Amino acid sequence: MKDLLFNAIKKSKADYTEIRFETEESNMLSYRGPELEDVAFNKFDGGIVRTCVKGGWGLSVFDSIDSLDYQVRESSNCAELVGNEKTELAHIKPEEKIIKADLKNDFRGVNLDSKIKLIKDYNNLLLKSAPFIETSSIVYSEKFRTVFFASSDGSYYMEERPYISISFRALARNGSLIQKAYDGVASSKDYNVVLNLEDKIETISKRASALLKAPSCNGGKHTVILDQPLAGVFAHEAFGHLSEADFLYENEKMKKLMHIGREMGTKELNIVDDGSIKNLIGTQTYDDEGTPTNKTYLIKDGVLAGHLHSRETAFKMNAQPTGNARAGGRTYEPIVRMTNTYIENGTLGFNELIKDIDNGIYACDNIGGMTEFEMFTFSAGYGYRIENGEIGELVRDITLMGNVFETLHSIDGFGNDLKICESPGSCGKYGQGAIVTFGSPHLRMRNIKIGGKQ
Amino acid sequence: MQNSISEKAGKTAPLCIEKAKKMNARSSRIVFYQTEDIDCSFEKGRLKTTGTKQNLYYRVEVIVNNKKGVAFGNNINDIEKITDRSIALAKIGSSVHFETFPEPLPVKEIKMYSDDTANLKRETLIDACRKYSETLKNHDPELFIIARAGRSESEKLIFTDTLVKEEIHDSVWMLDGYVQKTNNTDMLFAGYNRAWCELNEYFDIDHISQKTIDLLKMSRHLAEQEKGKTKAVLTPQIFKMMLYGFFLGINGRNVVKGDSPLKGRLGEKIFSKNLTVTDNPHIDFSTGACPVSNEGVPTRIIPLIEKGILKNFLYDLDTAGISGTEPTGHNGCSPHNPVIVPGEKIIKELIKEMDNGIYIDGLIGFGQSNIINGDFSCNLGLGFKIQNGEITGRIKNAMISGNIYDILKNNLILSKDTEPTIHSPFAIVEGINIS
Repeated sequence: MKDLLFNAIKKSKADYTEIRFETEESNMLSYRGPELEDVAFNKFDGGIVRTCVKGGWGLSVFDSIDSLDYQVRESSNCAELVGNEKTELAHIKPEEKIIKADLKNDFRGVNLDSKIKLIKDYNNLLLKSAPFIETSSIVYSEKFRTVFFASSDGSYYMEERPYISISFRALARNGSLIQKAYDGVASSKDYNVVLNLEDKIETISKRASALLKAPSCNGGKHTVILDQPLAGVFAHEAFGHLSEADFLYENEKMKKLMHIGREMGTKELNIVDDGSIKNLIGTQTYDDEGTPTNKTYLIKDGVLAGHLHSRETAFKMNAQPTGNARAGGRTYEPIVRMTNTYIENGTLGFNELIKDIDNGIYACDNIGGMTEFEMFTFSAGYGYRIENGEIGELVRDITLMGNVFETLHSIDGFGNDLKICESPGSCGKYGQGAIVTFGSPHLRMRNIKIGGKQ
Repeated sequence: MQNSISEKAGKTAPLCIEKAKKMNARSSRIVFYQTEDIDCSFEKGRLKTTGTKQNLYYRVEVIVNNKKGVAFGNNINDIEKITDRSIALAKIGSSVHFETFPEPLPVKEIKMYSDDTANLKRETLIDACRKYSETLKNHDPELFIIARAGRSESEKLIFTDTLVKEEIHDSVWMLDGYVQKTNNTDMLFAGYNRAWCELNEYFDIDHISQKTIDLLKMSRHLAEQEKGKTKAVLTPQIFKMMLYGFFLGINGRNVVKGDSPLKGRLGEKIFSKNLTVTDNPHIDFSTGACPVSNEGVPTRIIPLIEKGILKNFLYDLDTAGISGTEPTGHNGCSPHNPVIVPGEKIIKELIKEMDNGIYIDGLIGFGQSNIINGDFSCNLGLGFKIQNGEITGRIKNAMISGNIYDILKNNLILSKDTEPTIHSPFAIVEGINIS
């Protein structure tokens, strides 16, 4: 494969050429209600040639590796239409490496019958663990992806990127009122993570049922404790996307606004992105431009400390490439993405965080989030009232919003229980999904707006 | 198409289906989907990227002993192995609630392919993006401008053991322009987009530019909005998006599996009498046009809501089998092309007749609530205050919340003017909570 890729690259007349070819095999099994819903197998191959001529990019997406020479020509022809400046990419030292997956319990060695039995048993447990459970959804997914990359700078790698996940959803119904509860796990390392999840299943079943009776959270400003998954999503939406330099590097006003050294939050606030943490699902040895991944402080001691870069954005912003150029799959070009993004630990225990809150909300778990940089929103799966320093009744419908230039300053309590969440799902940007993790300790925030009736 | 799959698929698919039959398959189908795309993107007034995409994707589904196995691939040379896998999976697969894929039935001829669109040159797309960038830059040199354009040609081939081949060919163009205006920490995003199959008057970058400029003009001043329940004008795009929870509710799979709050409510008045929505996959050149489902079931025009009354759920073959009803020709039980019947007055008139309220053009995080229950709670991405029938300024730092089954039940007014490419008018609703 290495020779095949480099031989094609040699024929390119572009200033810079890279080829990424991927193979992928995956299985998906799901239960919905009492029945097995789907059993499906996928096998996909294909890739993309990306070229740069005078600073302009050309892309050619293909299925067949036999067409490489044609694809390189096509991509270069596109790039020639575009470029009229200079190709400027941050330098990286060319490396060649083969990275094989190091699986603790390889899911490929477990037969499908066992996997179907596993999710069947989970499903049966979910359906009977609480009253009012109308239906369920359990989705098991496994994927073994192999990525081959070569560039005209001399970089080459082959990396195996396995992924396994299981997600659960319990749906409870009372008349026309429906409430749902979710959970799930994911791993790039070990089939064992999907075993012995009975406690989680029972918990979501009971929670979905309980949410039917729970009142909606009042709208308005609240003191909020975020649990680790929700605080992790908060970091991702509130600041993570704003750190992606492809949103900044061509926009002078944004570059000025998000300059290194800008005060963003309290001194205790440290936000990190690290694509090199061993064995996390957001981890890759190299990004999809061949840059080694590493740890980048986005905020350090409350001050904007860094951005996430591709080679192009790094050059244009006079920075080092950070290994954050990632493609959502074989048919996409790399764009700047997060990897494993988290808020570093503080010092407070959970009880210390809540003890002085007379009237607040403990918001838990996450349904998702979205940002338009200045404004962002993120949704909790459920929550509890906090009254006089104690956790109280269950509440639902908690969607929080913030303005990044205010909300980061509103964090006045950092827990000491950092957790990085590996869960099913992905982060969306320009139509591409990227597998990421997000993490945080518990956080306390003041004056956070929650949607709903006042 | 440059690289049609029709001939190769025509040779291999029947052989695979025959193989499945020999392995005791009661019925099987293979669907091929091949696309060829070109696109371009502009940023900061300059052409940044252009590209070409060619992809194939196929699905093999086999029913053996009342169970189905499904396998997907994209390399036609692998199709026999993929078929073998599908047959193997059928031994442990999910139960099937229909006998066979249907015999060939008459299919309505619908225009989905346009030579002009399929031959749309890259230079034309680039020129459109350049024009958008220049127009917006002339309007305000401080804007950060992004423009994208593309065109796609695709062929879909459906083979079943009874349907020798159904071939569907379509072409789609897309224009998308938006701007970011940054003023210290204040960020405003505004834009517009369109897609259609035929290269006609809808392919109009000036229209997209003007829509963007109109939003920028409306945004010149900031306005404070009182908290509490309010009337709201929803743009056609926002109105269509708001109905997403309803489309989940009429999805037959969600009905039979117990997820849908609409189960058991056919014939009930669930919305205002002013709301009539039909699923119409027979509109020539609409991006939702579809003559036959991926299972070989001819599509038809189906009323979803008639004067507020819930009329139908949507079913694929399997779901129809579970519910004991006829299949409606809907892939995944989702609507192909919802069409909302407009009202009688244009939106400018209707706004003049309003006292106070808000105008919603953009939302952040819509859908991340209990959407199937109809609930929504999200940020106002781009919204404006209406006072005494006039738009008086942009609202910031606000959230809206509510339930679509509440806000669309009473006092719903629809405009006469629509966004024709998505078949949706403006809507004026009451009872949206703003905080």
